[in-house]
Amino acid sequence: MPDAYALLDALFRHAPMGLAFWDADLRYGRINAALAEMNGLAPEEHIGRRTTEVLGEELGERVDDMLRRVLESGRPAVDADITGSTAAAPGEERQWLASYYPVPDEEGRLLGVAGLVLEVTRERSARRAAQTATALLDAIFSAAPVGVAFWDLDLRYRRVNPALAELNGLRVEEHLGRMPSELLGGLGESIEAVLREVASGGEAVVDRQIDGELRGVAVHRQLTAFPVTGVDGGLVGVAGVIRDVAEQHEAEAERARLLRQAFSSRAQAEAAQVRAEAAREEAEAARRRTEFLFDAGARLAAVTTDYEGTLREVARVAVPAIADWCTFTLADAPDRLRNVAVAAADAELEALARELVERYPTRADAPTGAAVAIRTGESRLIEDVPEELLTGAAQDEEQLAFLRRMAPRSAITVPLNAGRRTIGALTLVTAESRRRYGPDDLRLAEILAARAALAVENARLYEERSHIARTLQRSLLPPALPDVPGLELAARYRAAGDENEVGGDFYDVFRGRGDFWTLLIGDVAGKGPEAAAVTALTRHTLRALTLRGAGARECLELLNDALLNEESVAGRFCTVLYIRACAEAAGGMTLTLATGGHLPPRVLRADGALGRLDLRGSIVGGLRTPVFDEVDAHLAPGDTLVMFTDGATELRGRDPGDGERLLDELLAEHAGAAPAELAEAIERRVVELQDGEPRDDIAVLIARPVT
Amino acid sequence: MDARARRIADNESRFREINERLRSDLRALPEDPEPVDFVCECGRVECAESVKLSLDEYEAIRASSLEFFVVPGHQSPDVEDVVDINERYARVRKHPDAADHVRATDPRR
Repeated sequence: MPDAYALLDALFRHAPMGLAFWDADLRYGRINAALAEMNGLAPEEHIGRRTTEVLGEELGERVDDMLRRVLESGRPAVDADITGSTAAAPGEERQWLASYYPVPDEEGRLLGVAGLVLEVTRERSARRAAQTATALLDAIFSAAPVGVAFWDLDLRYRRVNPALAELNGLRVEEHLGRMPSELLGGLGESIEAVLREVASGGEAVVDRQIDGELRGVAVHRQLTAFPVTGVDGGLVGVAGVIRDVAEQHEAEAERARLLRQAFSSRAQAEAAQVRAEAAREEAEAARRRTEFLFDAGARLAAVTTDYEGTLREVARVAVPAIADWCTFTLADAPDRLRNVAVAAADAELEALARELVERYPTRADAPTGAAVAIRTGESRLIEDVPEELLTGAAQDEEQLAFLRRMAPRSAITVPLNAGRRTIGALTLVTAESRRRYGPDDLRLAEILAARAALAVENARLYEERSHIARTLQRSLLPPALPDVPGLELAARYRAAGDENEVGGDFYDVFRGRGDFWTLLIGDVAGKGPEAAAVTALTRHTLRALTLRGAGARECLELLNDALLNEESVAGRFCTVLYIRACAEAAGGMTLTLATGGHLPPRVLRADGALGRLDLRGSIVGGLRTPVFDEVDAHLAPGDTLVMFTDGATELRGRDPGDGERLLDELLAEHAGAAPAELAEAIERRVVELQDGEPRDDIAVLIARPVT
Repeated sequence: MDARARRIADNESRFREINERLRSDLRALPEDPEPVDFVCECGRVECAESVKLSLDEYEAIRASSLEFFVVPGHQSPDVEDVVDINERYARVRKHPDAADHVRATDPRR
């Protein structure tokens, strides 16, 4: 058994609490290190001192009072709470739990007071913090506008706030101890999956979307869950915040729906734009084709004789409108083809094309291209020109090299059909543009070829008819004026309008029976073959009658009968001025005139005086009983007889009287001029006054006696 | 392939590109089982119609470079075969002569 003093010493030295003994004067008699440290002084600084001296007035007096009561009452004071601050640490509020016991001697007299002191400052502070946290948690749980829950490790609700209970349609207490899946079905299973993820991973899951159904109603929630650990750091459960995001979900769904509509609308708009562009391209292509056809058609419609020149023009406008390269090939004979027009979209290609057709003229038996169209009379569209076509068409390597340099992409050959004959072919080729021909292009080419063929055929017919007209016209006029002794002659003839029509005016000079000469000028109504027939009949009838010895008036009377009795010219009539001229021995000329409704001739005297030889006469071929006066006149040397048709006086836009006045003025201006000069001046003036296009044929015959 | 077949194939390919952009945009949105208004992929210039397809139906057609979808009646038998048809759309497959062309223009290739 250890000695009591030794035991007390051990207690004072090792006990984890403050121990002290105060004597009857309440001065420290003994104190252990633990209590001295609480008081902030060394143990020896306590001995013999009162508590007020050690702890300060305020705390010391309260301790001193308790010690005094124990000493005076002889009863202990147990577990007294003491709060305050020591003199050694002023301002730092601390808590102690102290028990004070009276210490008697063997006879029962009190020797002093013993005290046990525990500092509880830290424990009390922790307890208050816990109480505060709990209160805060309670407030959050009860007041939070979102659902809040805590699940234990078995994922059973341990705490649920009213907001979550309402969200789930249950009371708070109905949750406790139950798992989400037990209460919420599939929705609960989704929640449990998140909770397990948090529990196993130890990481929070933020704003996880939970969609499902609760009692048949679609619900959309957002769960943020996080692990909850105990003081020892171990996982004790999972806490979570749950929000009802139905409105947000609805808004997002609406936004998505609107976006889907917007995306679809945009796609429809893009498609509409694509289709509009395609339609515009089609319309533009159609417009280009129409414009081209209009342009080409106008050129072709205007062609008269120079159809090759026109085909060259058409080929020129075809590039680049419808082709990069265009040629017209004509068949002069079945075995003789000729490229009459070559045009290309650029100079280099055109040079190549020209060189190609010059060096390699199209052969009638060629296996491809225009020759085939001419042989078969059929069109051909080659949307993609294959290499084999080039190798098949080339006569040698050099031509093949030419063709390859031209790089044809697409081609069309169309025959130029005139009735049942194929007179040539049109070839259209694309190269540089890489454009690909299609059926529309083929139709366009066929229209163009048809118009070109018609133009060529018409031109050929026109040329043929013009040739006939020129030949016929020549037969109706003297090829040259005869040399008439004592008479200087000049004549001009100009047909109006198209050259393919025979004019109705005529003149003639021929020798009669005897020493006289006959001068004729006349105008047959109308133009063309019928007029030519009347002209021929008139001219040759008068010649024959004159040679038979008929006089001037008699000639016209017989001609009138002839025209009235000839069925082939029925209804046709003419005007004629018939003059018999007989040279006089002394120079000059005696004239015997008869007129069949013709304009009176003018006499421009040598002295410049101008007169007219008026006489009466009916139109020839118009009446059964015509009247033809016959008069004589005299021309002195130097006088000039001017005979003309109404083409010289009936000017476009002017009265006939104006025309005769203008003619007389011109004659007066040219007094003394030679017959040839005068005749040319008359024609020139008449043409000028009608802007180069006289409305009628012009015939002028001038005679002047010479010595 | 003649010019008409090429023009139709060109148009169908262009509308396929537009629909593919639409499909790409839809991927950014929450999935929706409702059918989507896609552009009719026919070759008619005057067509302004749409075709309702679910995304699954759309993907099934897009799995082949040679297949397109059009409003029933908008198919062109001379350049494509109808492989499936219902009241909403006709699924068409290009003839072999246009295969290379439409394959080359497939955005998924």
